[in-house]
Amino acid sequence: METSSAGSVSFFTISLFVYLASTILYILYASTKKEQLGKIATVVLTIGIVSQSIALILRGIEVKHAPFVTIYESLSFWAWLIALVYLIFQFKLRIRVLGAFVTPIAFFAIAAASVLPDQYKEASPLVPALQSHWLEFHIITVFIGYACFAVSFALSLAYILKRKDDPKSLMTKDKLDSIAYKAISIGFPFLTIGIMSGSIWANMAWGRYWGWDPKEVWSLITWFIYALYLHLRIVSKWKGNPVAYASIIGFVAVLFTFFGVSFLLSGLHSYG
Amino acid sequence: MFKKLGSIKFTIVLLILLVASSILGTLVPQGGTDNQYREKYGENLYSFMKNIQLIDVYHSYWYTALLAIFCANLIACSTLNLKPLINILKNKNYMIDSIELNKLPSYIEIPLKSKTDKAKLNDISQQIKDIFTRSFYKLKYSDDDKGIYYYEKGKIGRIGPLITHASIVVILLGGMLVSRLGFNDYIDIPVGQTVDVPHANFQIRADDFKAEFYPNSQTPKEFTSKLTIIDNGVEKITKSIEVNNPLKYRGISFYQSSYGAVDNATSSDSISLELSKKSPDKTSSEVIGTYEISVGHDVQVPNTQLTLKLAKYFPDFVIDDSGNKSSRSNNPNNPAALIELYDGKDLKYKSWIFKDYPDFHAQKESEYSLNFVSIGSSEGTSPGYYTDLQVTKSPFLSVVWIGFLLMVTGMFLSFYMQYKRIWVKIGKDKIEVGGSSYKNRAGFDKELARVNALFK
Repeated sequence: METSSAGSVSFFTISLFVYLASTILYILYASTKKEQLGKIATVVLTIGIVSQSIALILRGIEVKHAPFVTIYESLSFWAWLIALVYLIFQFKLRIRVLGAFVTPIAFFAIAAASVLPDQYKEASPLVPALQSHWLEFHIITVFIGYACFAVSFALSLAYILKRKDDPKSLMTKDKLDSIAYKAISIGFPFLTIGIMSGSIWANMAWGRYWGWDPKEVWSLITWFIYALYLHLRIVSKWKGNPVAYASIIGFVAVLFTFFGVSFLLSGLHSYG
Repeated sequence: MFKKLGSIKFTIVLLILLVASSILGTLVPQGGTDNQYREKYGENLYSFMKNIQLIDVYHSYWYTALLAIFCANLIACSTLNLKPLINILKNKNYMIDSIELNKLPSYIEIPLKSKTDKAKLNDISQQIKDIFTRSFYKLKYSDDDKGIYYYEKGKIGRIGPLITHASIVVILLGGMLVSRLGFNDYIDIPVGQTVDVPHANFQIRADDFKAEFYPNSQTPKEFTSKLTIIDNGVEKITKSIEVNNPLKYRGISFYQSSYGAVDNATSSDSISLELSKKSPDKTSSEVIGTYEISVGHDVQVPNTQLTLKLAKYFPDFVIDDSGNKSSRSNNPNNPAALIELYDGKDLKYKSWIFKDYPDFHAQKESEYSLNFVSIGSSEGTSPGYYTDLQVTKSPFLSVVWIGFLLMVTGMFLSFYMQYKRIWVKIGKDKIEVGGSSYKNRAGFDKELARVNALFK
């Protein structure tokens, strides 16, 4: 078992360092504003994503199921999705400086996965309840949502921390706010479909579509908070800081739903 | 008053309350027994918690009331916005005369060479029309003489929020119907036995159960139960179910949950064997008898010199890469017995025999054959398992699914169908194009870039 995992582990480790490198490059680009640095940062990030894609494929072959089931696998998968979603955002919006805010999160995620104790990194075959293609659909949709929320979190945090608003700077407060909104307007529907697919699957496996178990309740709490975010924006006097705080609190709820439930509470959902 | 009920500020308050209440229910363990709570919180605190239903938050009167008020807010808000929405959808006022294009959030101005003739202007307006219709805009107003054109698309997106809000009410309604009219129960069926189905007037029998594990591991791979429904004495369906693959009959569903070993099997340390003697050409055999033997003991076969000895018994036989044999657990997942057969003092037969794999044994050349009949006595009925099934009835669950569908549709309309409007003015000396979208959410970069490209 140990030797066959060498492939995925080495590509995973490469990705870890490459994400770190791209994070540093993006931050340097943001502070120096040198276009070249920004371009190199993007290339480096792309290399990291490709490397991690290989790691994921190898892991999938090794464990004989989708490579995002255990806590170690899902954390790495999330890091990969954050990087990928960010790259797509950068292409569509053509704003490179966003990377300085978002890539640190992708790096933290993959770093967190790497420091998990070895027992969490072991391959584990699927128990009967997880043997369904709803597994892939449910996890992928939820995680795309989580990745978008990581992007909006980074931007909202930057919004709160930004004291001076220079209209000539690369990222005005206005832009931070509107791109955060865009990220949530994509993440929220994905989270919704993710929760729904979880519900449909639960009904097929356990005969109940909603059992109010801690994971389900926390995913609902997360959903409420982002719904709150969307409605706060409509009331004009709450458009600025309150909305940014809602986005940040929403992300805290995402983290709790992802990890807190498994480690701090107990229930049917404690597979990771 | 109704306006306040349907106001967005009230929605915001309600969402905050829902978040707080929901978190409360995850801080206190839900649905435990009285004693568990008494132990953890003490009698006084427990009494208090029980009164405010903190131990069953999501079915408590106050959480349910909160959801009901939330529904009221959604319905009120939708009703208040219905007329304005219809007006927007019906609106044919395209502000042709009043619109000042250069004040629009997205605007470009392209100067024309002087003396551009009418034919060329018509050509330009046709090309612009092609650009926009290719992006699914509809030309809603055109005046070739004045050179004014108006396009729009995505108007239907404006009903997105209404559908999304309605879907929440539908989902909550469906949820209420399912929980009021349905049920969720567990039954255990020892293999071979028939039990009554709760809340119903038919029975179910477990014909067989099998638990498979991953090689060399304690991790379960699959649980399979073969079940038969018996209605009014008639066998109606037989189906093998697994986790994620239930059996449904008359609105009731049976889900494979888990299993267990029936008491006498795990503590049993005797097995029953059938001993046969083969014909000289080994093509047929004759049964000598069936014998129950305890582990470590032997049994004399009457009227012969034969002695059967049960040297070892493993309920869950497993063999590792080095050939070491052991029992993985006490559950009879793969019963195996090491049998020795003596004729007087001669060892005639020594082999492992497997209850689940009768054809697999080493000594095919022997004149005797042994068959592992059962654990415990051969008259015993249960082969050792019971299957644990979840039994549910969820009437009107389809209402919840319809709600889901509506919500996805509503969100798609709200977020991806942007209501975009474009005015085009083709004058003698310049062309103006201006775009506007609801709350400036959508940009017009692509459209304007394409118009610009016409003149490069």
